[in-house]
Amino acid sequence: MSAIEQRSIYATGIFWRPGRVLAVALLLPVLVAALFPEVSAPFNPQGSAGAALTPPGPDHLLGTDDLGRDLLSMLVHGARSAIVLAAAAVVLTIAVGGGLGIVAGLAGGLADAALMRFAEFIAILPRLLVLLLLATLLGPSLELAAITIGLMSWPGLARIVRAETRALKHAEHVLAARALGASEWRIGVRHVAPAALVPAFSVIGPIATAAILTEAGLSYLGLSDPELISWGDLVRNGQRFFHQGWWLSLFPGMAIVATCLGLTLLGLDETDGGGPHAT
Amino acid sequence: MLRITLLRSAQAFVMLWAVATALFSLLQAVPGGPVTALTGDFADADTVARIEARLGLDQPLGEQYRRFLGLLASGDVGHSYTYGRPALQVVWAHLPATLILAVPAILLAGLLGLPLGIRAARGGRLSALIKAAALIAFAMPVFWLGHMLRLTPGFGEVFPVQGMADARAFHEGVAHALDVAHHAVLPCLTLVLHQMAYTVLITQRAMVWQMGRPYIRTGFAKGASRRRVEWHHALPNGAAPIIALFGNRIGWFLSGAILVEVVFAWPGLGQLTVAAIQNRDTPLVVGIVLVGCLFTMLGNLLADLAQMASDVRLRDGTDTA
Amino acid sequence: MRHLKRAVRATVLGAVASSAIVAGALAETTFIVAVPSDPGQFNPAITTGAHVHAVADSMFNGLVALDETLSPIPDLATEWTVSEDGTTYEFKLAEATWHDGTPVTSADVKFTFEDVLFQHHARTKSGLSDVVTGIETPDPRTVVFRLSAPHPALLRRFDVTEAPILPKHLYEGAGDPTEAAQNANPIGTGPYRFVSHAPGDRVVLEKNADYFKGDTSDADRVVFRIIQDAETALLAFERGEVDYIPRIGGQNIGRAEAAGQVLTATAGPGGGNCIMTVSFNLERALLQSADLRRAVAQGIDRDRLNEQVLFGRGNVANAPFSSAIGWAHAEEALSALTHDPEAAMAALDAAGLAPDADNIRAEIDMVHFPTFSKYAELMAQDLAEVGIKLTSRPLDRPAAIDAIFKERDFDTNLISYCNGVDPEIGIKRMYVSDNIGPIPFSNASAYRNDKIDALFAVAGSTADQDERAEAYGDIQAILAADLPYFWLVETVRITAASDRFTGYRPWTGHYLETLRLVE
Repeated sequence: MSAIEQRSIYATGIFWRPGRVLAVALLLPVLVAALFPEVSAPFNPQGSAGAALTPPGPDHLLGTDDLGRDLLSMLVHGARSAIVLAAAAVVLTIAVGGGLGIVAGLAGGLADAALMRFAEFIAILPRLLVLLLLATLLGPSLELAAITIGLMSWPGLARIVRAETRALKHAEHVLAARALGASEWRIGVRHVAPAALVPAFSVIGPIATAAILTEAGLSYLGLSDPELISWGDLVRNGQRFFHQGWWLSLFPGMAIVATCLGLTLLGLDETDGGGPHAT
Repeated sequence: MLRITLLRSAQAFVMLWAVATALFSLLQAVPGGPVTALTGDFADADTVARIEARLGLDQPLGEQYRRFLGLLASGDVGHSYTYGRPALQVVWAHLPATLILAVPAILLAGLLGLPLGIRAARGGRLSALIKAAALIAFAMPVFWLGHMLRLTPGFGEVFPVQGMADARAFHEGVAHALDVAHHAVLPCLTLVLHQMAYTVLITQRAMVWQMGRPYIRTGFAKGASRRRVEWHHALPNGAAPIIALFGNRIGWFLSGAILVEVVFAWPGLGQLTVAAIQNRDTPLVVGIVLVGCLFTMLGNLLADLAQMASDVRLRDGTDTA
Repeated sequence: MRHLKRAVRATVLGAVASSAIVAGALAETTFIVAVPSDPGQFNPAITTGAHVHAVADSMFNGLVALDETLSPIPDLATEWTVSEDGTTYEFKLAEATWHDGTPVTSADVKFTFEDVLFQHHARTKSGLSDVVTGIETPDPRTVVFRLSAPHPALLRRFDVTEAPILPKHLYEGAGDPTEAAQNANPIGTGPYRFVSHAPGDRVVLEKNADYFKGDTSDADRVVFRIIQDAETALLAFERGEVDYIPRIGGQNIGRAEAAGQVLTATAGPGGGNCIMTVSFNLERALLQSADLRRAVAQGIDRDRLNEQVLFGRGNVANAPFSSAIGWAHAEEALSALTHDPEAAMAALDAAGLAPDADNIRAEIDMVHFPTFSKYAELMAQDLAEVGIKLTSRPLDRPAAIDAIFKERDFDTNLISYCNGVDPEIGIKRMYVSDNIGPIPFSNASAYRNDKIDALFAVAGSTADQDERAEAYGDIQAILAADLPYFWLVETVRITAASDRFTGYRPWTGHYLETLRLVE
């Protein structure tokens, strides 16, 4: 995980520009589906829309599931879960990882050491297992998965941001601001944070991907949110009916792959000209 | 380097205590106890009370935690409720099966992922192809990947779809080893594909970055071949994130390859973890997590040492965080 | 020349055939069962856990066994007599030995019941420990049970799942039987003996060559493979890596039939004749409304549950008691409660529950095991149409039991209540008021009705089946009117089994006792 969370790099190869186009092409439909599910879904995803296990065809573009629900409509509604999950995990990671990284970098000394030990503590916890326990404790829910993933993914980013902050502390514009009598808080917010948080862009793709894949894993173990449609749960259910309806696990699986692919490409494509740090 | 190793070991103990305490609290809060899994349905109140007394669950929380710490101090986590045996013994018994999958998977992913990643950094059609394949493999839910592999015509017929050894024939010695290897092909391949995709992506990025730096031009100017520049100049300089990746993943393989083990009914720590949580087998859950954390820390330590060995700037010990 | 050819062919064929016979005799026949979880220990007398019984029952025996109609047939007891008044049972034991060679005696039986079953086996303890007043052993081959009152279900509670017999010489004085080292290395009397246990992987048994019933099985070895993922188990069955899966989902019947055979039974080790049942939490004001409960009942399309979840293999429940207990089952007791959304909405109107802006009249939650999610999804669809918002709360087994029976934190729940082979065993516990409390799978609704309590007391203490049937008929009429629960579908256990063997007995813990290779 840690290395992908590194700052991304500027590549001159020809792959990158088509990569950006591809990322947008893959993510745009997902975003539209997530924003306007009622418009883009042909049927109510929770209700029976036709005969059970109808193969893909004119009535149901992607077929129906074992309870007669329209798979396309379920995928469309699942997109919202995926986007909410990914966005929440990313925002939390950046907020906590970025915030603690800057604080540790600026403060130095004991606070720095304590924060970094705490980061190590979080980093060695087995994520799936903690999620399993929490889902058992609080009941499975999408919010829980998003928050837990977010709260467990920040240490890598915190380390990078801290290193960046420490380097910036002695940068000329920061020294200049300090000479002009700016408060530490002001320096942190105005002069250090904008530059130190640049690496955060590179974690968007990996964290979002990890969130979606981890939720899929939880669903496979039977701990998906019962109130929402998630792609992971659709894959799992489809897997049980693979021999009656190949489409049931194939299309949700493709949705996950396409979205994660788009997010990864986006992350790889976010360029800032820096190089990987040795952490 | 010795000082750092010692410091790290001391920190490791504190970390393990913190992890154990966090788990202890978490498991206390999880609803439902281990008793139903032991007695089956219909257990009446005094049966439940008797079992809770036997397991020490009737004690006040503080007392339970004190006992837990006492055990922990002596390097133990108590007896597994399910198996009635020391939980760590159960964990160690499951460890070899997990290692049989994890070690070849890590090695193969490295051996194949590094050259592919380096090749992918060169640019051109083949690079794009390698990268695309790696991106897709990386974006696949690992349980789905495993299931699809064994449904792929040719794979499922040739390789066993579950288990670690043939249950019909009882092989010994070399035949047993071959049988296990035969069973390991599909789960191992699943892990290799996943980890390799990761390796390719990381290596490619590190290489593209290194190959664009001035010292590489110097290398070429001195007449070194492309291959030599890649392997002898760029790779060592760009090794840090790759080493860190492998260090980090050791822990993932031990407790995080849960899904692959469940898919293939592989008798390692993954299946054990899921069952232990379902049975509320607290000592076993704690044992599994602690062993997993121990290996993660060991992996990180090895990665740090490897990085220090490969990077002069870090060898001074000025910045190890 | 032609003769010579024929002679050569005959010789060659003969040689091939005889070598095949030799090979067949040498190769051991191994039978592989896929089980979803590790039993952990192998003492079937200290638990009712199905995961233990699925493996351990094959190594032990009860006093009686059950045939396909669930009538008692000889097991360790070769014959028995019941006194006129139904309070004394005398059993004659077979000449059997434990797997360590020690003979089985009546002392083993007495010890097992008094020191183990009545202390630790939850069902036998709660059902029989107050009924049995004394166990006597006049000689090593004879056991006499004295009862406080007639207990018509007694013999059906003496099979290997409900009352397995343990070796006294290994458990007596060995301390708490739930902690005995013997539990990891069991010595029984059963058709198979313990060989090894690789935790999380497999349990290996071998045929008991000295089995007191003789050579009953062609399987030289039985391996229980622990496979959590049902799809993996089925795939392994299709590829011939597994011979038997005790329970498969209805959607996979076709696949199992293509690869082997499908067995169905309403009973099985650990509980049979199960009905998917909705409990209403009668301690909550909203659920105390009989009209609301009726609306839920009439809002649910039970035929669709049977079709889409059970793939038509179950039955829509037409009485509170399972139809498999034919003499006690009140046919058509529920016939008035058909799927009728109009009637359901009328009942909600009567309860004063008018639709709000979103057309929701009432919101209730439903606690259930994750494996029952399909039922919950379908019921939520049905109930949405009548204006009831049903929120599904899937909780894993320990958490669900905690929420339902200890915390009582639910509006409704969905439980597979197994009726067992007699209403005394699996039905009474759901309805009598003294069984409200933190006992798993007790009276989940907290239903109190003095008439019901009195009728169960009558039915449980008379030996006369007609008299009992009458009481049970009255009970079911009251239940159908009160609706403390709603009974959805009677489920069946669908088993996938290899067609290389016959003689499966899927309704009992001894399901592998009489395996025969198909010629």
